[in-house]
Amino acid sequence: MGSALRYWCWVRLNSGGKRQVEEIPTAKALFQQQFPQLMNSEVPDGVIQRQLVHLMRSETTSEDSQTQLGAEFCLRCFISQQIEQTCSELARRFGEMGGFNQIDLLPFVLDDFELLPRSTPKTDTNYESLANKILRTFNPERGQLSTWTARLVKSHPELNRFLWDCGVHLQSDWSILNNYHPKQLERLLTEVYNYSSILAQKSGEILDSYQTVYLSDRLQKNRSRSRCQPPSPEQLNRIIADLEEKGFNNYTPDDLLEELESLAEFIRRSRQPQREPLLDNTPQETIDETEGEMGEFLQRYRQLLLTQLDQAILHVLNDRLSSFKKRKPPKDKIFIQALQLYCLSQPMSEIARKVGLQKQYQVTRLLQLITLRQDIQKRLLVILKEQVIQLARYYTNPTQLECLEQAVAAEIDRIIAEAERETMSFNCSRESLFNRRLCRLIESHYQP
Amino acid sequence: MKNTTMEYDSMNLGKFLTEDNIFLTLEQVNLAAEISQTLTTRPRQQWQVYLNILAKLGTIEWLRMRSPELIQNDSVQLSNPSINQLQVGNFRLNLIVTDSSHNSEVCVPRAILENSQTQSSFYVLIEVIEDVPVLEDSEEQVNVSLLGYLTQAQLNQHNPIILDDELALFSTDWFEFKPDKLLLYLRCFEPETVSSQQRLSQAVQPALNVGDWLKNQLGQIAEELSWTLLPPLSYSSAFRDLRSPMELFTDAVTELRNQAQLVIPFEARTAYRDLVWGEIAMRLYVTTWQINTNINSPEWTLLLLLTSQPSSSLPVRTQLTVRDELQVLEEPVLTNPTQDYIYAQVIGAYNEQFFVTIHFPNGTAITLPPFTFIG
Repeated sequence: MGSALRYWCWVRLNSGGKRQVEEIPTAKALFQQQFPQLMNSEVPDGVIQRQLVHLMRSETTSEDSQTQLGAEFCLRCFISQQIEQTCSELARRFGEMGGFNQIDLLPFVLDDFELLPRSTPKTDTNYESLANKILRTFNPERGQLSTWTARLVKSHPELNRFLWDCGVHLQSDWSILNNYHPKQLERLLTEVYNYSSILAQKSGEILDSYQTVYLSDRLQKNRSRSRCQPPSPEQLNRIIADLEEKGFNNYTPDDLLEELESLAEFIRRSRQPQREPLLDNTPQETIDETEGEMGEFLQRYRQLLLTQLDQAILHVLNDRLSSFKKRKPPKDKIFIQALQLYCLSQPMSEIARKVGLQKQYQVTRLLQLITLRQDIQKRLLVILKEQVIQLARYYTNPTQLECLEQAVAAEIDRIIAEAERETMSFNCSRESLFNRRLCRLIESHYQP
Repeated sequence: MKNTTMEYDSMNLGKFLTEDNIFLTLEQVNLAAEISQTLTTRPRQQWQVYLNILAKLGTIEWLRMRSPELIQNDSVQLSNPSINQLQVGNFRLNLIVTDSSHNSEVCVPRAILENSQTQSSFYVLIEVIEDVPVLEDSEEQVNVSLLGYLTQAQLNQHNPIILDDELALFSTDWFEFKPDKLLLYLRCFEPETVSSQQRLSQAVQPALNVGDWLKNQLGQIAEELSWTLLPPLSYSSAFRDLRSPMELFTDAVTELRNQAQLVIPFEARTAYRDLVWGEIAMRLYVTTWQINTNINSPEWTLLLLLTSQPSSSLPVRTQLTVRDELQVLEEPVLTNPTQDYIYAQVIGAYNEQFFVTIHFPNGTAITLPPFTFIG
């Protein structure tokens, strides 16, 4: 349920790329004529959409072509709103961390530039707007237009590509189905969705047949790699044939496609989106007794740490460089260039531009300052292990080893803080302290 | 109609990628696809093998990036049955593939559970994004991230759900989602102590008093553990049974005296014990004698010599570790297949204990009851 306005207000981007909302009289008139009692209320979308699609697709005589056009415009208004809403959800969920907003997403998917009848011949091009595609492929008997629109927006190739560059991955239904075991699916359906075991087993067989066909095609030699597409009609027929061999008859390609999509949705909903892998470098606030004791103990090896710190930084930097050098194409030059720019306090987006990357996320991923520091700490731990036999016992117990790493990290901070006392303010975070040291070394060891 | 019951749920919309991830090239992806087809025939098994190879290649690249000294050679073993395993130093990583860090369960082959009971095993959860939205000619075709790990000891506290004859399910909640901590272990950890129980058992185990040997007694514990006391050393024995334990030991000792200037006094006594570990048949000779240079604090020597039993041989990288309660004292390694034995010598005060572990190249280890000398 939602406002009736959605059926005659059209959201579009003008030639300047600015979002505009227009009222479409043809659409409003049609809506008023068809649903006069619903003009100012919350409307039942399912009923309305079925009616509009029916009007739009019915065989027409010339006098009701106006009705047909009005119905189509109503639906396209609705689609434009829904596209915008999907983008806004993506931006709300991922925008802040991914460094983008809704306006960045709209051009990929809100590409209906003028409301012309779909039958209007286009000039020598195969261009089809997303809204047109949604309307062409929508089946009101199989679901809501809002769901269908969201689905096509989320699987839009350029939008996906853009989000990927921002560090956001939207997994397709087909990729989900490729990687889920039929036995696991059966268990999920019975345990979580209360399916009977017969029904669950049938779903397992459907997934099994899908995988038999789809996976062997995807593994074919010399195929050109591309994103997983919905199974083609030919693939659907092979899946149906496979199911028939197992005694499951009477599937139409449309039924099967719908069934597969809903299985993917079940799997998707069983996930735990709250968990993100941790790139954990938050210092532990509470230093427990063991760590305090270790800290004191480490003081004795201060000199060793002090002389080895810069060595460790350079060692890890060189490891990184030789690893990046082996990439195709080599990335060692842009790595060091990006680091140098970072040391000049350039913002990430600016660094991206200067080294030829698209997005801030790609720079973060290239520099990986947190893991760089972690690796340097570990390098120091290895040196301590080799050189200080008295510390050996800390390496034999996981908890003590973690404490030791924390203690070494804290000691490094103190060492740097003292070394940089004249130039740094005392309120510097440990990250900025460390990165300052890193930058000094880069300045003196690598030519810009 | 099922679709209508499914409300649009923005939480399940998608996910952020980690920063610390690895891309595989088209060449690597094609290689994985090709190998998968030579190893199995059923499409889903091929797919699983394909994902496993991608995970393995990605893990190697990740290690090479984060900690290159852990990856010694460039050759990657990509054949069955080790397709989901990776040996890193003394640790064995069992690779478990998932397609999203948001999955609450992962499917694992049950074979993985049965084959890897050693304490130096890790179960590593790896996200393989096979369906990357990239251009066809991009060098970034598949994305691999190490999400987390589980130690054997941690796994032992949980009960995997058995799906069928071949598959089990792990909850992803069991894993520690901190790949950096795995790296800490791989780089810095002393392998024999991945299990703290093992260390605990050392502490409570009765020690073997080698002081008894000098009184021409084996001692109760040594007897229970099938040690055999040899007669006192005599470098020119009248009996020359060439393959007797005594004769073989005498040969080694003679060689040590010549090459390492290690002189064993005649009053020293030796006992040996035969050990079998998998296909390796070993013999450990232990020799002891007193050092009375300082009458106020007398000391004793423990000399350990590890060799193979006749007709067997020790694998290269076999390691003998001797430690006291605080630290490792000696850890000789067999570096050359022509080498017949490795040995270690330590000196202690009366009642001091030494702990001896034999490590094998596959990451497994035997820990012996501690040795002491009660004066």
